[in-house]
Amino acid sequence: MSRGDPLIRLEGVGKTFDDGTVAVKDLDLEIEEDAFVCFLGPSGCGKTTTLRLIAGLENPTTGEVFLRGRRITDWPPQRRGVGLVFQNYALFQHMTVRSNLAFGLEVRGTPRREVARRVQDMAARLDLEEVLGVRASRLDLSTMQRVAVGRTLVAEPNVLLLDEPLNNFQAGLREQMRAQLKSWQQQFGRATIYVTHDQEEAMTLGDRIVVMRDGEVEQEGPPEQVYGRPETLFVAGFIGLPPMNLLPARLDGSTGRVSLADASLELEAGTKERPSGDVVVGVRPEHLLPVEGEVDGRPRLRGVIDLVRPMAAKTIVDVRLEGGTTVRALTRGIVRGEPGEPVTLAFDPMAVVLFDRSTGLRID
Amino acid sequence: MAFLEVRDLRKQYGRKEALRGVTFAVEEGELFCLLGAPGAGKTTIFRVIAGLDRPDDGDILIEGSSVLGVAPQHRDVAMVFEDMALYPHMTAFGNMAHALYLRKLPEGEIRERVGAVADLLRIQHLMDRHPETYSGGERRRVAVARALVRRPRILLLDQALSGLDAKIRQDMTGELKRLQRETGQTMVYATHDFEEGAAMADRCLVMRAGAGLQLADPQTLYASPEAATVGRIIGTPAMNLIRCRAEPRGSGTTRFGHPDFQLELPIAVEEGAVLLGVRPEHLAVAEDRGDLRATVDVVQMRGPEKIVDLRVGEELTLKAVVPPEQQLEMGESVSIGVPPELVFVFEAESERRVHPPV
Repeated sequence: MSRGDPLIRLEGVGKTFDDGTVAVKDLDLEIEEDAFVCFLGPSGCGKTTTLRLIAGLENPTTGEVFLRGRRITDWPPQRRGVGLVFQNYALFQHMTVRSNLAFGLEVRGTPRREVARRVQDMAARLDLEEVLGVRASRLDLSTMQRVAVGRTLVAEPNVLLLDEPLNNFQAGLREQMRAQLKSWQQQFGRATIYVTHDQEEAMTLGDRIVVMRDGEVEQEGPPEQVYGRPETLFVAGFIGLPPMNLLPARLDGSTGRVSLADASLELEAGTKERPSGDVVVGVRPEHLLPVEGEVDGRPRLRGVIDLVRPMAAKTIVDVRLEGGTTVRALTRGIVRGEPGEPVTLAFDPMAVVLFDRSTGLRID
Repeated sequence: MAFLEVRDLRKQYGRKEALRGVTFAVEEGELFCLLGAPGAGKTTIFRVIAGLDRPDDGDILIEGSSVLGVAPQHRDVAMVFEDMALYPHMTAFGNMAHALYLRKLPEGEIRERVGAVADLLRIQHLMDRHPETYSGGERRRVAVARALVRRPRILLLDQALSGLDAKIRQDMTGELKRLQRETGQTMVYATHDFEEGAAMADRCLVMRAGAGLQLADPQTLYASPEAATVGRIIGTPAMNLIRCRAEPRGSGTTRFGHPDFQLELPIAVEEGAVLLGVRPEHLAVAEDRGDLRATVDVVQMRGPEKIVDLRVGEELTLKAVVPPEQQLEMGESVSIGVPPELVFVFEAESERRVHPPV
């Protein structure tokens, strides 16, 4: 191992299954020590396959996998020191929590006193001391999750791999468990890879998000960046709830002006030397502000209110623009508008993201 | 005269008091929401309205007359549950048309009604397909559509969207609200998720342990919760509720004492054990000049905002919502400003609000 090598590196990794399905294409990816990385994408995007390739449960068709600079492509899972937590937790139902925690260490022939010490330590850190003597089959879902994570961490893996571990939880508990997972990861400082299709989960948990689609990485970066500066139309539409408003427009390359097809509006794109063409204007719902009268000359969209949905501190307002497209605004506080009422939405031109309509890529 | 009146409904299952005198009224064409945690009594109310259960006491009136003596099938009330089964051997058209064929409506009218509802719920593409090919969201749409084509006097939706992905749920709250507006169908919607209820309903009744706590429009429930539970249910993250001791200090100020902090606020509260309530979005997190010192724990990015867990002393963790651009590191020491005009105080035992006065 040399300094500077990432914990895990995938180099040109591809996976084609026997039936010809291409799950992952030519993937280059680095996972740093201590990172919390979320693989995010719709079902079938290749995120679980990528996780399994890292775990050694699948062999890549092409490319290599490295662990701290060592090539491990052919290593079996147990040699890689990865800790995998399954969606159904796969606990030994008839065994106590203590035995579940100790099992992996005992199998590996860890000395008994060492096993006892580590199990006790893990139980204290995950607040499992009171249930050490309880059979796994009698535990509630959130305790099962703690045991599953504890059982994996007790072996001190190089990396913790989680595949949609919160799918079985109902809404309120899910948020609690999320916060819990995040604080464990910060406490244990262990690199974690977390697979999910839920963008909110990825945003709240990850230090880095790897957005995948059709076996390829669409974008990779910290949540703020993936959210604020999406590199493709797909990422813009996939991340955020309500999702980003995407409006067709035309870019005039000589003047740098963008005209929305759907509203009488022009804005300075600030782009230099661009060919004219069809573009998509992306603007987040929270950047569309209902205003009255003329304020500070910011660009604005005019339309009528279609639907008002209060969400406690915020309100979602659907607005039908003059051209017929509906945009969604997310505003702080209470909006008391009725459907059919005219409304003007102002926005900060700096908050707008432009995409090339044919390639789907962001234009800077 | 209200369209649906629920009067002082009581129901006991064995030793469990499921309903302890619930009263509310729903107007014709209204979308009314019952909001409460599992076990609050929402489903029991639905079962009584639909005629699947008899109340021990109280009455149900639809259009002014009691329906307690009316058999379920003659009440003209339709109900959709979370885990609603569709007829697996029938297409969406078959599922929707079934009840209308039983009523021997003319073929033309059946086709017209089914078509119109399918348009509204955007399920035309499912008309010839069987339920096993539907996604979770499509399944719910067909279940709602099947109830809606009957044009019942009252449509009861019991957790009709729970278990669906957040994105689909948000789309469907919009669809249901539009649908309700366009059809004028009277609906009662039961959920434990405030965002779902608030997004759709004209008014909500917040329930706990078989009793109604507060009945108001969603904005009022947020801005002026009359009980601690209302604060807990409404808003994400939920309101911070801090158990502490109120000690009046004279001239309209009160000291709030907690093992982890002392806080003096310019509000008048009587001496006693209280729950100090303040919403995460109302706490001001800054480097200094606040009311409380705290250490940053977990920071979660939410897109338009960040949610921060703040440790105050040994026991207490508060949640705060801050703008996405505010940089906070785990372990960092910060101060929290508590705006007195946005603080709620609930009496600890009854959990009723004592400040501002109700």
